[in-house]
Amino acid sequence: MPIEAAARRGGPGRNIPAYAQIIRSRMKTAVTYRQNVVFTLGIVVVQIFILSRVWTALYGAAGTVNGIPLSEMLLYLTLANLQGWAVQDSTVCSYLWERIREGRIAFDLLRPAGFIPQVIAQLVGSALMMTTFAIVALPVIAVIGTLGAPASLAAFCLWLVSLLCGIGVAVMLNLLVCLSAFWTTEINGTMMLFSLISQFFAGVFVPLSFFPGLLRVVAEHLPFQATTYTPVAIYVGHLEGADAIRAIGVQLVWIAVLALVARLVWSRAQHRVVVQGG
Amino acid sequence: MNDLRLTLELYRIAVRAERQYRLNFLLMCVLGVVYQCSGIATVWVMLRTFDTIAGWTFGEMAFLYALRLLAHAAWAVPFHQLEFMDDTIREGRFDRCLVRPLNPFLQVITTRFQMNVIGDVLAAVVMFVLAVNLVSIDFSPVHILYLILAVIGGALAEGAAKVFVSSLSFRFVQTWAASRLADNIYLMFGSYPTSIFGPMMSWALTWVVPVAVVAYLPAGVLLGRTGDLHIPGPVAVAAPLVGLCGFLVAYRWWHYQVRGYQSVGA
Repeated sequence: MPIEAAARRGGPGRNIPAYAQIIRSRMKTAVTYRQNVVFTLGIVVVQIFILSRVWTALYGAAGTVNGIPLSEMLLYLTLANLQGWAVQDSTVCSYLWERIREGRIAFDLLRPAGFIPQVIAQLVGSALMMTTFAIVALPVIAVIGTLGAPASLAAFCLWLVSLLCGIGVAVMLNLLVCLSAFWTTEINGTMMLFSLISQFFAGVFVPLSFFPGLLRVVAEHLPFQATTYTPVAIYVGHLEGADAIRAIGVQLVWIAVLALVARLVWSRAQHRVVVQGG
Repeated sequence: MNDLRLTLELYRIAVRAERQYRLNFLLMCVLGVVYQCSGIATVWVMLRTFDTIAGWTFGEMAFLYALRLLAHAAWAVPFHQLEFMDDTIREGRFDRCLVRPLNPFLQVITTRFQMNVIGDVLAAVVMFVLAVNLVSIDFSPVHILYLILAVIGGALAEGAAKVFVSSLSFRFVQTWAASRLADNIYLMFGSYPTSIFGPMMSWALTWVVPVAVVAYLPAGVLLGRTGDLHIPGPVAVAAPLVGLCGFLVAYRWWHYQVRGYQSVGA
């Protein structure tokens, strides 16, 4: 195994087996608590149903609004909700918050692998497993919502790239929420606020192209649209060619910017760790 | 009367305990406001492009939404602790409620006080004042009386579902999932005109899970839209009564389920 060889040699790749193990464990955890996953998925299914009905009522007799036909809109809503759900798992943050509160975070800090990469590995593991659950749930989603083929082969390829970038941005945002646990005594409220605001600005309820004036400018300058709106808009063919590639570029910029912010936040958070007793 | 005095005293203690954590108090209030207002923000964005949702203008939608918030707040302030019933049971704290000389239901609802319900109340009142300015309702004494009855009826209708879910915790270890689902069903279905969900769903949302009676039917009556509701006008007027009946059934069921309680032995 080249990975193990790299690990023996030391060097930058030496912790890769450890990260792979963290990712595997987090995936197993998600499977263990699958009843919770099924339940949150249930809420998403209800949400997809309601939004589909609401938008159908909104369109009424109109076939196409803002250049988007109803069928494309329903496909967008279904995918956006499903994808928005898959990248929004709060269990990692709750887990981390509990470790900080109980002082067990000390063990994470002592490990040879860096703390931030450990958290990222956890978040990646969770995102991978949630995506798997989302794929398994597709038959149910097809009955309640609307599924359909991508706009074109090019759209499909760009969507795959954009989806990966979207997961990257979401992981970075979740990392920042997790790090806030070093300052607050309560994480559930923060997570709920974050989830509401990010869903809204990610275009899960209303696509960004329907946002009015100033609100749209605000939404376009926030990182949330890069998690969900960009990939799904590419899939349904709303963002094409140069626009799509530019949007993926924006996603990459956000990953870099958020990584930088996380670095800054972490350098401050380190000084706040006070382990009680132990 | 003695029960009422005791219950109020227990509430006072619960609120005092919560006020020790000021920042948390504030954060939870803000959360309540944002959580309850996020739905109407979505409707507002939608109705910037479109004129109406199934014939309901933004003003009317805001009124419907505000009425649901008022009913929800009227439920949540006294009763929201029921949501944590399963914790109370799992940690063996329910045993205490059974040996004390006060109705266990009253003891459960006064265990703690979650500050985000203050945010719920704030959001409800602000939304209602804004919404009333957007619609033309001439509030006669009859209208005001009906509004009050509708809010109480709506609170009881939401309560029916919550009491039922909390009674499940006598038999199952964890029910927070079911409780969150019930919450979301009332929040999400309750904020839109029920008729858009089709005749089957409308029927179920009125008579099986009483969501429509919380705000849609009373709002339809107050706004003079009884013509396009999914049930005849006179039946719609009786919506608060449906809430009351639902709650009474659920409350009897809760007490009946207490008998199934087995202590965890903590």
